[in-house]
Amino acid sequence: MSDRNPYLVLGIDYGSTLGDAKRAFARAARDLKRGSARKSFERADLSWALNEVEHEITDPEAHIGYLRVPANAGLYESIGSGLLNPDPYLPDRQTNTSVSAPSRGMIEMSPLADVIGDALLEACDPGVLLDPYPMLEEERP
Amino acid sequence: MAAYVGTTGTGIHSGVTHRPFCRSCGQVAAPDEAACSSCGASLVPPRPAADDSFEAIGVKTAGTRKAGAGTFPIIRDEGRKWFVLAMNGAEVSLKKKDAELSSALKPAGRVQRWVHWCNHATSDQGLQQFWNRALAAASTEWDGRLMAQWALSKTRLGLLDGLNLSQSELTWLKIHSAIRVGKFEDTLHWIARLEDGTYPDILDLLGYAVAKGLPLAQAQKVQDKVAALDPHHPVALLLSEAPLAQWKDVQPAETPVLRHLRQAALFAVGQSEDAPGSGPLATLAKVERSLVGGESLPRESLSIPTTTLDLLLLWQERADPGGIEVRSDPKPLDDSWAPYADDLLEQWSPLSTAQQTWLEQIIRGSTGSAWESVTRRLDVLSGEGEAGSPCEEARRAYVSGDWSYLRNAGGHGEYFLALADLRDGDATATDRLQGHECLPLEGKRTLDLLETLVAGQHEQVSILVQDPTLWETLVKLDVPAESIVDTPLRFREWHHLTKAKQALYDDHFSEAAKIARECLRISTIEDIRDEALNLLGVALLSEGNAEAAATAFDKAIEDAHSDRLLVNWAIVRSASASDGLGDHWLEVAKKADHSPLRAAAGLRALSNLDDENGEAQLTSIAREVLFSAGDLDTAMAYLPIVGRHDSTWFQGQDWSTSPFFESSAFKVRVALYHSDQDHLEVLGNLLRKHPEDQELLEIRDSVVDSVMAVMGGAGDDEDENQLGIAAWGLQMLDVVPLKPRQEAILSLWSVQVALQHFGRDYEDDELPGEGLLKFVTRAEALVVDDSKGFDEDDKRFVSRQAAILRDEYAQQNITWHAHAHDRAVDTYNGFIDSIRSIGYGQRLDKQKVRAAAQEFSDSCQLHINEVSTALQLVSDEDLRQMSNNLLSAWKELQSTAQGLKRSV
Repeated sequence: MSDRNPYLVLGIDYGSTLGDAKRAFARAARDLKRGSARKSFERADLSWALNEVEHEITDPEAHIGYLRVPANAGLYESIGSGLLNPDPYLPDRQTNTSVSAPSRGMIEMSPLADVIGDALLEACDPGVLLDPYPMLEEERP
Repeated sequence: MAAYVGTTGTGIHSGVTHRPFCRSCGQVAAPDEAACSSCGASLVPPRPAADDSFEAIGVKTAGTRKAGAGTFPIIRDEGRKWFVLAMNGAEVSLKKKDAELSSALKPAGRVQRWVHWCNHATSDQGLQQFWNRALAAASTEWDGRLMAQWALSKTRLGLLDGLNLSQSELTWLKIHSAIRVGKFEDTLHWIARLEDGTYPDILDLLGYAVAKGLPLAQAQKVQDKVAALDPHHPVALLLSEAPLAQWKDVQPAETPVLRHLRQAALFAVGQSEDAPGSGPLATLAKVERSLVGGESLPRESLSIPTTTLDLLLLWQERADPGGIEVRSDPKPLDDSWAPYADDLLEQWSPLSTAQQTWLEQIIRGSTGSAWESVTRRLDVLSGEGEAGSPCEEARRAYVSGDWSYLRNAGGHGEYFLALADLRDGDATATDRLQGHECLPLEGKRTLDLLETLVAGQHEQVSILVQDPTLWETLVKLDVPAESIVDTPLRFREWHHLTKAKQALYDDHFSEAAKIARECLRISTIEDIRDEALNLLGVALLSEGNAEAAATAFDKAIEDAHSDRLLVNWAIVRSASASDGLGDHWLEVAKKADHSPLRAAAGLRALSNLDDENGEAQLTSIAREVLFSAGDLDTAMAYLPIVGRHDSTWFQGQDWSTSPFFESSAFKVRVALYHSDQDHLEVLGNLLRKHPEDQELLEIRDSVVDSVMAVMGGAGDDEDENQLGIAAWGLQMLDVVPLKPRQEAILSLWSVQVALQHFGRDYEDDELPGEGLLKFVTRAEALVVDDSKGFDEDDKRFVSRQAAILRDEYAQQNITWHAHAHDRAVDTYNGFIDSIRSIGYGQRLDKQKVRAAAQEFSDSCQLHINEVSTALQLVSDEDLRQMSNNLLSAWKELQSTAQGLKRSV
C-alpha cells in the first residue's frame, strides 16, 4: 500500500468525482500559494493526487490500493428539506384546504368515514335523504 | 343470492334506495299500490282541492291598517298583527291586496296555507299560534304528514308530538329527527322500537348515520332489524360481517353511498373471514379503537390492499410515513380523494421513493376535474412542469448548481446565492435572506434562531438541529462542543463523525482519533460505530500504529460490513501482518458485493498466495468473472485458475457464450486448458484461417517467445522435462505457421534441448532418434532460400549450429554405443563363464551355444551399422578417431563371437 492516499491529500471523500477532485486541487493550490493551507504538503503531492484520481482510479469501488474515507458516505449526507434545501414552491391548491374541518373531525372519529369521506357527504344531501314524505313534494300544486 | 340493484320502487333520488312502503305501519308495499294491504292506509296523498272559502290572512304593520270589511286581528307576533280576511262572499275588497296577501292565497288547502304562514312567524309564540291553526284545520293523516315534513325541515322536532299519526309513524319520524341532529344513540333507540320488517328506508338512514360517524360496533345493535328488512342490502352485509364472496354479488353500485359502503367493507375484510372476531366488523372496530386512541393503524390486520386504504394510511401518518408500506395498485380515484393527495404533496419529502412513485401514479391516472390542479402541483414538485413562480425557477437552479443562472436572476437568484453562502458557513448571508419573498414562513423562524446563534447565543442549537439542512452549516460555524450536549443523539453522532473526518483530511490524526472515540462512546448504532471505527483505524494507521488500527478494523467488520470497510480491513491487516498476505484479500474476494472488487481482490490475493489451496478458493470468483462483463486482462488472469482447479466445470462450459470469447487470446487460452483441444492446434488453425489477424500473430509471437525463453533456461534444473519442452517446440513447428526466422531458430533449439535430455544420462536406454536431424536440415534449407530474407550472418550461424548439433548427435550416439559395448563385453564374458562352469559328466548343449553366439554377433552388427552412420555425421577429428576405435571394438567383439560359434 502506498503511504499516500490521493483523496486524503486532496481532502475529499473517497470516490469523489473528477470535478470535485479538480476543485479541491485548485482550492488547495490556492491555499498553498497564500500560505493558508491547513496541512503541510507540496504542489507535487497535489499533482500526484489529481493524476491518480484522473488516470489511475477508473472504478474507485473496485480499486484496492487506497483506504476508504468515509466507509459509509450515506451517514454524512444531509437528508430532508429545510431552510437550505427548500421544498418546491407549489402553486396555490385548488382543492379544499386540507380535508375540510368537519370532514377531518369525522375522519378522526371513524375509519369508515375515512373511506367514505367528503364524497359521501356531498352525495347524501340530508335534505333529500331525510325527507320522510317525498311524495308530498311531488304533489304540491 | 339475487343481485342487489340499488334503487327500486319510488326512489326519490339516485343516491338512496327506497322501496314504497306505508308510512302509517311501515309495511313494504307493491309499486303503484294505492292503499296499504296491511293497515288500509292510503299510500298516495290526495290532491288538495282549491279552497277559496277559507279565510286568508294578511299582515298589518304598526300604523297602517288593511282596508276591508269584516277584518279583525287574530294573531299577535312581536308587535305585528295578523288579520284574517273573510273570503266567503265578495265582502272584502281585494283590489289592493299586497304581495303577502296574494301569496297567502296560493296554497291550495287550508292546512297548507297555515303551514306556509308558519314560515313568516318571527317568534315561538306566533309560530305556535299558526301551528295550532293548522292542527285545528288538519282533518286527514296526510295533513299531519305535511306538517311533520315542515317540522322536520325546520328542525322543530317538538312540534311532531300531537300530530294525528300512528304511533309507529311517529317513532319512525323520531328516527329521522334524531339523525338530523346527529343523535345516533337516539337513532338506534327508535329503530329498535320499530316492528321487524317495517320502514325499509332505515337501511339508508343507518348507512348515512354510519357514514356520519356512528361506530359500527354500535350500529350492530340493530343488526336484526336491518337483516329482517333485507339481509342482502350492503348495510346489512356490513353489519353482519358478511364474507367477501357475498359482496361480490352486489352490483357495481350506482350510488356513492353504496359504493363507499362496499369499499369500506372490502378493505376491512380480515385475513380469516370464517374465524370469529376477525371479520370486517371486528377489524373495523380495531381500526377505530386505534384511531380514537391515537395509535397507529393495525395495518397488518387489513389483508386486502386497496388504493384508498393505502392513501388514507399515508395521509393519516403523513408526518412520519416511514412505517407505511403501500401495497396496493395505484389505481385512479375519483375527485373526493384529491384533497388527501394534495395534502400529501405538501408533505412530499418525508415520503419514500416508493410512496412518491405510487402517489404520482394515482395522481396522473385520476382524471376528475379536482385532480387537474393536483396534477399541476405534482408537475412542479417533480420538476416536470413549468416552475410557475420566480422563486421555484430560482430554487431549481440552486438545486442543480446553476450558479450562472442565479447570478443573472435578480433578487430571486440573490436569495439562493445567499443560501449557498450560508450553507458554506458564511453567517453574514442571513441579512440577504431576511424579508425575501422566497423565504418560507417556517424558514423565517429558523433564520431568526440562526441569527441569535451567530450573535453568540448557542442555546438555540438544539432547536436549529431539527432542520437537518443546517447541520453542515453548524459544523462550519464551529459551534462550541458544550452547546451540542443537549442536542438529539443523532445529531451528535453525525457531528462527531463529520468533525473526525475533517480532522483526518487536515492531517490532525490525533484529534480525529479522539473525536472518533467520543462517537464510539455515545453511539449504539452499528452503522455509526462502524464508521467511527473506520475513522479511528485510519487515524491510528496514519499515526503509525498499524496493529491498533488493524484491531479497530477487526471490530468494524465483526458483524455486517460494507465493501469499503472490508477493503480497509484488508489493506490495514496486510500492512500489519507478517505472513498470510493473500488471506485477507482472499476474504475480500469471497465476501465483497461489488463483483469488480471481488475480481481485483482475488488478483491481489493471487499475487500473494503461496499455495494451491488458496488459489483454488478463487474458483467461484473465476467462474463469475469469466462469464460476466469485465475487462479481458482480469478474465485472462482468472482463466488458469478454473483451468487448473476447476477442471470439471471448465470442461463442461460452453465457452462461446463468454463475453471474452471474441478475443483470440482468450480462445487460445481456453483451448490450452481444455483437455479435448490442443491450444497450439487451435492457434495454428486460427492463423491459417486469419493469416493477417494481428492479435493472433501477437499471440503466436508471444507463445514462440515463451517457448524460446523456456528453452533458453532448459538444463538449469535437473528435474526439468526437457523432452517435453523440446516436444512443445517441435509441435509448434509442426502445426503453427511461423515466421522463417522463428522456424529456423525453433528447429535448432528444439533439437538442442532434446539432445540435452538424451545426453544427461548415458545409462538410459533411450537414444535420440535420427528424425531429430531432419529439423536441423530444415533450418539449413530455410536459410539458403533467398526468398526467406536471411542474410549471410544468419546462414553462417545456422550452418555452424547445425554442425555442432550433428556432432552432438553423433557423440551421443557413439557414447551410447560405447556404453553398450561395455555392457556387451560383460554379457559375453558371463556367457563364456557359464559354459566353463559346466561340471564333469554334464553335457554341453552345443546347438544352443551356437545359436546364442550368432544372436550376439547379430547384435554387434546393429551397433556397427549405427556407429558407422553416426561416423558420417562427425566433423570433429577427435570424435572421428573415437568413433573409429569404437567401430573396431564392436567388430572385434563380433569376430570373437563368430569364433566361439565355429569352435563349438
